[in-house]
Amino acid sequence: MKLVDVRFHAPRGLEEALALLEGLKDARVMAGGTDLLVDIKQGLREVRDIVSLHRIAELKGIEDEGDRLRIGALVTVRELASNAAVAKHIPALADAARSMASEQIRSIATIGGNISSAVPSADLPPPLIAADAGVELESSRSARRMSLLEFFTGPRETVCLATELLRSVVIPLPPPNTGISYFRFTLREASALAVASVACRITLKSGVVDRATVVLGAVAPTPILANKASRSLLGKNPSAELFREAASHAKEEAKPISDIRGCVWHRKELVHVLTQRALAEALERALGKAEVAE
Amino acid sequence: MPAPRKKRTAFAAIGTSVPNVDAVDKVTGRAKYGADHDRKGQLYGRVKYSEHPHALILSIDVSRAVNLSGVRAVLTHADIPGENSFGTAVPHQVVLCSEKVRYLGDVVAIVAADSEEIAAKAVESITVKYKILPVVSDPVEALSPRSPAVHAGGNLCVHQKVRKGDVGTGFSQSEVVLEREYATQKVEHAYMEPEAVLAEPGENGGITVTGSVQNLYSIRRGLARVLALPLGRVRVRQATLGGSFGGKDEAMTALCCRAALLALKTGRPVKMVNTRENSMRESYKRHPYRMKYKVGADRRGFLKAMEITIHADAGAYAAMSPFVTWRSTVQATGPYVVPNVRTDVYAAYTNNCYTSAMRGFGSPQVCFGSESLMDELAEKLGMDPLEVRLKNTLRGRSTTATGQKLNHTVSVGEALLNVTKKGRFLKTRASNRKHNERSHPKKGVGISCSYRGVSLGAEGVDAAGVTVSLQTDGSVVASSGLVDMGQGAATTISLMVAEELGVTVDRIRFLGADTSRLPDSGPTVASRTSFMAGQAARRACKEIVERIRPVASEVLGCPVDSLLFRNNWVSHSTERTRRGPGSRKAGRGRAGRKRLRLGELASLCFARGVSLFAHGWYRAPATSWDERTGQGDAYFTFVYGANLAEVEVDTETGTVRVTRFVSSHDVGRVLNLNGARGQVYGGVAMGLGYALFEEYAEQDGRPSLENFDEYLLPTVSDVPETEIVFIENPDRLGPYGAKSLGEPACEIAAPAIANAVCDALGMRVRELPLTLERVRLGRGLSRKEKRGSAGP
Repeated sequence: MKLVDVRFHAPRGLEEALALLEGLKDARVMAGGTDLLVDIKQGLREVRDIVSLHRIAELKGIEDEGDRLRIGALVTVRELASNAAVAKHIPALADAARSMASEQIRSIATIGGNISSAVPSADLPPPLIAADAGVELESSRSARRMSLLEFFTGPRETVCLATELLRSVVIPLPPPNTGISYFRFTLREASALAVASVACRITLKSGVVDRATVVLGAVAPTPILANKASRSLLGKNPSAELFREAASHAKEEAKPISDIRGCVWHRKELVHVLTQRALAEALERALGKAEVAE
Repeated sequence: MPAPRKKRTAFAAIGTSVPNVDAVDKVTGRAKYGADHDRKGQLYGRVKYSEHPHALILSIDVSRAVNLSGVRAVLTHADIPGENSFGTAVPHQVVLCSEKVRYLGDVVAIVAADSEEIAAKAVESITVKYKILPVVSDPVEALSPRSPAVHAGGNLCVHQKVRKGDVGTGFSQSEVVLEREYATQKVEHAYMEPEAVLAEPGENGGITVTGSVQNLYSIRRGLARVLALPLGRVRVRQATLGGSFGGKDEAMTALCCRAALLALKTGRPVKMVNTRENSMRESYKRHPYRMKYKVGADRRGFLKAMEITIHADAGAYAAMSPFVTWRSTVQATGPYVVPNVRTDVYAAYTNNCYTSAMRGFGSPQVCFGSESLMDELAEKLGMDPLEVRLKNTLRGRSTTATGQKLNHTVSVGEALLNVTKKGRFLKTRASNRKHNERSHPKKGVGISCSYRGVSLGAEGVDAAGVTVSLQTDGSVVASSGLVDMGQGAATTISLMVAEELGVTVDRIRFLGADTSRLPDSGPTVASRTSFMAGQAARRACKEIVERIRPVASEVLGCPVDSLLFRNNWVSHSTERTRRGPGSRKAGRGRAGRKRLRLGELASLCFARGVSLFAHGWYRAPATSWDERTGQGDAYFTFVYGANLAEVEVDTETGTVRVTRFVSSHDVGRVLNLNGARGQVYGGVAMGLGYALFEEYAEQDGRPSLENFDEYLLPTVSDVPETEIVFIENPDRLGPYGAKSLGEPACEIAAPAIANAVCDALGMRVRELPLTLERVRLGRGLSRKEKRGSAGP
């Protein structure tokens, strides 16, 4: 593949990048490039200008800000998988990162790219949404912040304007007695896209479920909240039966399509199975944390 | 991996474990693959594919393409100097379609341009008008008289048969009769390197092509036929091959012909490299089979009769279908004594992507059929799968389905015992049963076995040549008409040359194949290379040794028959045991010269005008075949093997994990332990993909995928550790007793896994691959269900 007639811009700072996006019409932003270059090769996107972010230091690094983690858009999937703060506070995010693609892709693909591409089967959004993560968008004229759930509007569609960049992902540190988990199903062990995925969060208070979030991936145009499933858990004592009931709601809430990786029926079945497994692990993690706290 | 064995044999090189001789070149990037060959002033070729699986061509308009700046040639069928077709069995595969297209990989026009981009634009600007014909997509329906015809002569490509005894009598003597249907899918070779070629017009009006070719001589025949050139002016050179698995034959003939046509037309070198998408669309696949098995046995479990009817989808062209189905016919019963056999294998033309040779060559399909059947029979008889197999396996002096009496050591029983002992088959099976009653995921264990004819057998002419040239410094250049395509032939043949000449492997340079300096040795297929090229190499070496012995005898002053060639030295054999090979000084004893370097000897021979070059030719022992009865000595010898797989099945999601694998093969003699293990590891991985993931799905002649993101191959994370038990029953015909391994290693992996999955599920799945839906539901979802419905 040759990128003929494409202008490649490599700004050295965020300001310069945002100015470029302001001036260029229909420029494509490139972080790791693992999605973009494939799209270009397959002719899915007409590209005149590529603005590569790889030199922008402001977008790199994971910071522990006391009550939250701030993750720069250029943090690679590999960094997420091996970062100590992530492992300590949001192990489900490390799980998701480790499950993705292959070592080569993980070493170059970024959290910002994974989110901004807004592919329905993306692995990082479900556990991030379960952890109440927000995103910070910035243009040369303004900055705004929103929950990650609101960021997605459709398959490969987001609220991000052509002049904006996703600057960072902010995750509040989970309160005590909280467990977050991520389960996905793939057709083979490695280098495979999720056919269905489920992230769950459980916060316990005096043994009952005080807060619960069930997020479904790859079974709707965007990652979605399984609200009925989440609500069905509240105020209850966690049990396998409770989880099975929640999973049945989640299965109803999933709106998958059939494609070469799986049909509607199989995807719904998977949501049913994965939700139960994810809830069980979230519970285990919530209980584990309680023990540490004592 | 088990530790390398220290074997005590009479051999110096044979049976050792050496890395592939081309390994360093490959990992350092020095190896030049097809696409790495470039010439000054070369053009880039592109093809215009058919837009319909089945259509008549009304008109082809290339005028806009011709007028594009940078386009040097646009060719159609009208520009072909010779025949517009090729093919070993049936020469009807079209190079550039004129009247009709028969599948989506057919090509209507070709373009050569200054750059790939211009060539691509030119191809897009070609317009072809079609009259669309109904698509023939089902190999059984294709044989109905009402089916539209893919080829003028009708849709029957070939009908192969075996008739032994009388199945009616056999079934009447049977107390248990089972009838089952099995199906296998179409799969892609998935070689890492897509097809690539560079065609150069020669000074003598001829053509030289260099590329990723597996079978140089069939490709050369195709080129000569299409270009109307004498064979002597067509030169085919093999670049380092990035995998082939049987796949770079007809697909490469087509590509080479097209590049050569463009090169001769423009007078410039033309390079053509397939994208993965083009390779998937155009290159042939492994035949999907639909198999009906009827088996009869008495109450004690002894087989009485088998009746087998198979329909194979040949796709748009015959290619190797007649040969592939012939092997299936011979081996369809599995490695069992069956007194009455009736087998019919039909291959039918359709508008699907054509099918031809792929590792196994008609065996992976029937191995899945016969090995599933034996498990089902065992269950019906209330026996375990091992017992029913051991009762019926071929033994020494047994007669095969084709009436061939086996006059060598038949080791299928030994192989079965090896894998079941190592895998504790019966114990594991019993403890799994207990586990599965209460626990999750479900566990299963399965076995499989096979017999396989070595080399081409009665399929065709079976002979091969190797040249060996001893240099005056004692180094050696060797070259073989059967090629290395990644399977390790270069290393294996080098080891045999090392053994015969007494040189170390590092002194041997193995050259890539080239039709201009090697005789037509037939195709590098059928796991025949170690055997055939090995024997040819030995003959060449022996001839050289015979010539240089007298000179050595004279110099060393010892009788000819006491000379020993070893470790680049020639010595008086009684001397060796006392001193052993050592430094140069050690070679000059007080009593005079007792040994000399092979290089010194070679120089002395050269000075005396003794030829240091030899060509070895080996013709395989005779085989026989009666087409009318389907009886005969199909192959000159056979190999035997068995596999065992353990799996865990998540019955809630359908996921299958292969947790353990044991493989045992009688190879006659292990030539290179490292290479032999590599064949088994690779074969198991390939069989695992066949069992669980891979399927080149087509609907109405259109593939539903085009790249490896959707055509799922196993990764290293899916492949279990494999334990290997080699059996060495030296064959009286093979080099050092060696037989073959490449295809046996692959053909029985899938049925072992399938049997293990069915054992875990307590339910039989009779179709490959064992997709999640089949594992969960016991059946695949219908096509309609797959397209957006809510499911069952």
